[in-house]
Amino acid sequence: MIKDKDQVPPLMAFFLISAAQIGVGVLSFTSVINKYAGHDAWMSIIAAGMFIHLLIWIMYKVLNDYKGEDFASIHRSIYGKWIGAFISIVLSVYLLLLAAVVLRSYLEIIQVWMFPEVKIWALLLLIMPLIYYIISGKFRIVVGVCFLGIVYPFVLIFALIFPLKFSNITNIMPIFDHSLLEIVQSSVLAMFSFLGIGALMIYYPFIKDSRNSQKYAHYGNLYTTILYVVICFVSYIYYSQHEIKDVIWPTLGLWKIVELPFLDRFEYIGISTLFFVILPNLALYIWGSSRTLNRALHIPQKWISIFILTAVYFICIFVEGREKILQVSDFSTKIGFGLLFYIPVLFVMHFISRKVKRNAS
Amino acid sequence: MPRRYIIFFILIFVSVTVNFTMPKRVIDKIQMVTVVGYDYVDDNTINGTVITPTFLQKGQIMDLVYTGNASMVYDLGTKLNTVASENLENGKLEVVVFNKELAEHGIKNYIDFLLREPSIGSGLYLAVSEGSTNELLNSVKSHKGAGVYLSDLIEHNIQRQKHPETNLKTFSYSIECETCDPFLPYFKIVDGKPKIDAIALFKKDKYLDKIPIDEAFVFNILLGDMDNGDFILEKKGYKAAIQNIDSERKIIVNQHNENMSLQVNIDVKGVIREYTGKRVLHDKEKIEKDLERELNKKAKEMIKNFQEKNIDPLGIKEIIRSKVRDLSVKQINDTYPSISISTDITYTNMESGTRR
Amino acid sequence: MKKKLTQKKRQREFEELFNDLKNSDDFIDYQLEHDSIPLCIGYFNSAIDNKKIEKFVLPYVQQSDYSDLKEIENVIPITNTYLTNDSNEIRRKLLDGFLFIHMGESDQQYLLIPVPLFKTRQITSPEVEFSVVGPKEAFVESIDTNLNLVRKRLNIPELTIKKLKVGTITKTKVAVVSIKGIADTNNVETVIQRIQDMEMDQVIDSSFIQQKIADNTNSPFPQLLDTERPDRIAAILAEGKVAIFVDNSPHVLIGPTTLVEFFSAFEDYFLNWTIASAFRLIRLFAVFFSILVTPLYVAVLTHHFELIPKELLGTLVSSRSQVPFPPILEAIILELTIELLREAGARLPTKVGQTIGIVGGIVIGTASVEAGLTSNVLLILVALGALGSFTTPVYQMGNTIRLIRFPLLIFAHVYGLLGVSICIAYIMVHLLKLTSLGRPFFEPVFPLRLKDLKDAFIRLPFDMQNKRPFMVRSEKVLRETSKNKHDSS
Repeated sequence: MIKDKDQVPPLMAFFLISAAQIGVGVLSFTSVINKYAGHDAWMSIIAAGMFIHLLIWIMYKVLNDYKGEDFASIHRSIYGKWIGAFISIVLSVYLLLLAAVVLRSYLEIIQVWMFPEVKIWALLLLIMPLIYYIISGKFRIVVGVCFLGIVYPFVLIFALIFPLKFSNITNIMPIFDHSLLEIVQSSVLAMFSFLGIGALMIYYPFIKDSRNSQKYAHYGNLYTTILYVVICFVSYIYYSQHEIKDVIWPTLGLWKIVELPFLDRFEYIGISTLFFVILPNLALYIWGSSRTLNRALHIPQKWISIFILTAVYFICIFVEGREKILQVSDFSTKIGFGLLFYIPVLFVMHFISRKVKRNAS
Repeated sequence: MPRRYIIFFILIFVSVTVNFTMPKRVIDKIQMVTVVGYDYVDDNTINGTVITPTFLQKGQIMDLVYTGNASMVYDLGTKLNTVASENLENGKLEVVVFNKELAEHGIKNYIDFLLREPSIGSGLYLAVSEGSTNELLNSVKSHKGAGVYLSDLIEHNIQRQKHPETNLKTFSYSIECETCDPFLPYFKIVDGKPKIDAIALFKKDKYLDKIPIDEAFVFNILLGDMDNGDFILEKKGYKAAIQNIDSERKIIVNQHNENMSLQVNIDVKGVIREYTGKRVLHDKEKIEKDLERELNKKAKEMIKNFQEKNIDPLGIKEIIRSKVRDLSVKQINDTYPSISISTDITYTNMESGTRR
Repeated sequence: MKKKLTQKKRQREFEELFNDLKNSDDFIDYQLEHDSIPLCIGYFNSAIDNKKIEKFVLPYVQQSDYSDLKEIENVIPITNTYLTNDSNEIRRKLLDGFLFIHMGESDQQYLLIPVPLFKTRQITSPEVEFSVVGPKEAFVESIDTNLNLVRKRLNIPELTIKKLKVGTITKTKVAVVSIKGIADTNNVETVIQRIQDMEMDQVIDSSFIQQKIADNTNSPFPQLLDTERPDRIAAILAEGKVAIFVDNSPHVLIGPTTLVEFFSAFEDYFLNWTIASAFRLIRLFAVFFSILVTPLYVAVLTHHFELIPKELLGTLVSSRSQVPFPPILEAIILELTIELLREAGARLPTKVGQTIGIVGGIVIGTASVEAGLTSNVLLILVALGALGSFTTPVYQMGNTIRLIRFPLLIFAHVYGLLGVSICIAYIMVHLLKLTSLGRPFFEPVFPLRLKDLKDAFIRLPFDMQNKRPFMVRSEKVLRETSKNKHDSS
C-alpha cells in the first residue's frame, strides 16, 4: 500500500491527466489532423476527446475494482506472473519511448528555431539531472511539476488573441463540408494528441480517495479537449488549408504575428515556456516507466530510473533529423495506439477473469 | 546525498562549457538587415540591395548599403557577408521590396526563404517598386534608417486605412489560397521621396495591374469592414471631403439553377470634413445621393475590371466557396469572370464637424 | 567518624573550587571583619550588579552581628536566596550572577543571593522590519524581555513555553513557544526534538539554530522565518505556528513557513486589505523582476535580438556600441559591483555606508558608462533589480534572490531563453521539494490550497479569513470569534 503521506489529493487527477496529454504535439497537431477532414478537423478533436472520456471511464471501472493496485499487479492477477510481467515491460518501454520522442521533438524545435548549432548531447546533460531530481523525490513532486506545467503555460493562451486580427472566418466555412467518415478518420489522427492517459493505471494508487478522482480526470480531459479545439480553431481561421499543410509547427506560426510595444516575435518566449509543458510529460512518463519496471521486476526504482534516463539520453542522441524523428515518433504512437485500444480489451479480460475466479471458488 | 549533487554539478558544468562556444548573435556584433530590395537581372539572377543600420550614439543611424547579384535569396545573404564587416542577420527584416519587372516574373520563389526562415516574423511588409529598388531604398533620407522609415510609412497608411491590411502573412495566404489573389503597396519615387502610389494587383504571384492610391477607398470598402479612410467627392457646383468612420460589407450569394449572382451590400457611415457648397445640413441628401452614385459606379467598374483580368483581390471567390456547398474550387474559378456582381453602396452622413 | 570524613572531603572540594575560581581575575572574595564571626563574600565581578550589592546586601550584612546565615537570609530584601553546601551548585550559580556569603571557617553552609547584572539594550523600534503604522517595539537580546513582550500580547494560560539549553559551551537558553490547543503538537514536538538533537558547542544567535534544524540544510532558501517584531510573533502563534526564542538574539524564528510568507510584510495587516494586497503584488512583481531582469537582458541581447521591437533596437544597440564586452560579462561586472557596494555598505558604520552607497551608485555608475565599460540601459536594469531585491521584507530572502541571479545569468548566456526556462525549472522543482518542519514550502501554490490563497499573493479582509491556515494543521481550524463560538454551540 502507498503511504498516506505520499498520496495526492483527488483534484490532482485533473493536472495529471491533462499534463500527460499536452506536450510538444500542441505545436504541430493542427497540420496533421486535417489530412482527411480539412477545415472541419476541429470537430474530430471533439470526437477524439469523447472517445478518450470513454477510455478513462473504462480505466476507472477496472481500477476501482482492484483497490489500491496498479497496472503491474492487476496484470499479474489477470494473466499470471509471466504474461503480466511482459505486458508491464511493454508499457514501460512504451512510456520510455514516448518520453524520448517528446524530448527529441522538443530539441528539434530548439534546433530549428533557436540554436541550429547547439550540441544536443550537451544540452541533454542539463535536462537529465533535472528529470532525475524530480523523479527521485516523492510522487508528490512529479504531480507538482504537472501542476506547474498546466498553470504556468496557461498565459500562452492569451497570445492566441493576436492572430485573430489577421484571420478569416471564411476559412472554416462551410462547416460540415466533409463526410462523417472523414471526420472520424481525422479523429483517429487527433487521438495521438491525447496519448499518455495510460499512465493513469500506474499512478492511480497514489491518488488519495482515488474513486472520487474520476470526475477530476474527466475534467482534465475536457480541459485538454477545449484547449486543443481553441488552438485548432484559431489555426484554421488564421491559415487556409492550403497554407497549413506546408507548415510543420502552425501554433508557433500563430505567435509569429504577435507584436507588443516591448516585445516582438512571441514564439521565442513560447518555445522556452513550452519547456514547462514538456517537463511534466518527461517526468511522468519516466517515473511511470520506472515504477512499472520496479513493480514487475522488483529492482530498486532508483537504479531503474537511472537506466531509463540513460536510455532516453542515447535515443535522443542517435535519432537525428526530421525523418528519423518522425519514424521513431510514428513507431511510439503506434504502440501507444495499441495500448489505447488495449484498454477495452483489459476491461473485457477483467470481467472474464473475475467470472472465472468466482466460478472456481 | 552529496555524491548525487556532485554528479549533477559535473553534468551541468560539462553541458554549459561544451555549448559555451556556440555561435552567439550579440546585438552589436551583427548587422541587422532592415530592408531588402530585389531587382530583376535575368530569369536566373536577381540583384539585391540590402540596408543595415549602424547605430551611432545619441540616436544617430547610418545606413550601410550592400548590393550584389545572386540566384537565390539566401545565396545573396552569404555573398554579401563577404563584404559586410559583421554577419548579416535577417531577424529584424521590416520591408522587402521587389521591382516591377521581377514582380511581373513572379515572386513566389523569393518569398520562400522568408517563410522558411524561423527568425523572420510574419508582420514583415512586402512591396513593389516601380523603378529599381536600389534607387528606391537609396532615396530614403531619414534619421530612422531606410527600413524603419519604409515600414512606418506603410504602417501608418494601413492604420489610416489608406492602404488595405497587408504583410507577409496575408500575402502568402493569398498566394497559397486557390480562390484569391494578393495585392501589395506599389512604391514610386516622387520628388526624390518614396511614395505609395498605388495598390499593386497580382495574379497569384505575378504582378498584373495597379489601382491608383486615390481610388483605394473604393477598393477598401469592397474588401471588407473598414472604420477609416477618406474619399473626395468632386461634383459640379461643390466639392466634399468625406471621412469614413464605419463601413460594413455584406455579400449575398444568390443561386438560381446554375445561375449565380452576387450582391455586394455596403453600408458606409461617414463624416463630412470639408465642403465647398452652402450648408451641409441643407445639402445633406444631395451629397449622400451623389456619393452613393459615384461609389457604386466606381465599384462596379473596379469589379468588372477584376473579372475581366480574372483576378480576385477582393476574396469574392473565397466567399462563394465558404457559402456554397458542393462547388469545386475549379468550378468557382471557371465561373468567376462571368458571374454577375451587383453593388449596392449606401451612405449615411453622421456628422459634419463643428459647423452646420 | 564518617561524618568527619565527608566533612574533610567537602573541605577539599571547596578548596579546589576556590582555586579554580581564582584562576579568573574577575572573581572577587573578601572577608568582612566582624566582631564575632568573620563573613566571607565572593562573586564574579563580571556577572553581578555592584549597585545591587551596595544597596541591598552590604548595608544589611554590616548592620549587626549575625550568628547564623539564616538570619541574614531573612534580613536581605532579595527573593530567591537559598542555602546550599553543594560545591557544583555554587559554581553554577556564581556564573549566573549570584554572590555567596559564607560564615566562619567551620560552617559548610553557603548563602547564595542573586544579584545578576542585566545589561540589555533598551527596547527600540524595529529596524529591519520597520513599519510606519502599528506597534514600534522590537525584540532585544534578552530572552526574558522577549518572552515578556509576547506574553504581554497573548495574556492567556494556553501560551506554553518550553525552555531548553543548547550548546555544549554556550549553554544558550532556548524557548519553544506555542499556544496549546491551537498549535499542532506534532510541530511543537518536531521543533523540540530537532533542537535537542542538535550537536553544537556554541549557539550565538537564532540563525545558528535556523541553519541547524532546517529540513534541507543545503538549500539557499531559508526555511524558517525570522522576525524581530513581537506583534508578528503574537499573530503567528495565534495562527497555530511555533516560535523559537534564543537568548542573546533579537530575532525569533517561526515555523512552519511557506515561501509566500517571506514576501509578506507584517505591515500588510495594518493597512486596508485592498492597499495591502496591491503592495504585496507590487513586492512580488519586484522580486520576479529582480530575479529575471538581467538574465533576460543577457539572453535577449546574446541570442534573440529578434525579440526586440524596432523602436527599442536603436536605444539598446547604441547604448552598447562602446562596450567592448559581451552582455554576460557586462552584466556580471555590474551585478558584482552592486554586491560589492552592498557588502561595503553593510560592513561600514551607517553614516559611512550611506556615503559609499552614493559614491558607488552615482560616481562608479556614471563613470563606468562614460568609460564605455557598461551600457547605461543595463545600469538602469541592474540598479532596478537590486532595488527590487531589497523590497523583500525578510532580509535573508533578499540574499537568496540576489544569489540565484548568478546561475541564471550563466544559463542565459549559454542557452538564451531556454536556459532561463531550464534554470527556473530547477528552482521550481527545488522549491517543490523543500519542506518547512515537514510541511510543503511551496504551499498554497502547490499543494494547491485555495483557502490559504486568501492570505498569500493578496491579503483578503479579516472577515474572510475565519479559518487558520490549513498548512499548520492547527488543532482548532476555526478562528474563535464570538460569532464562531455562537455558531458552534
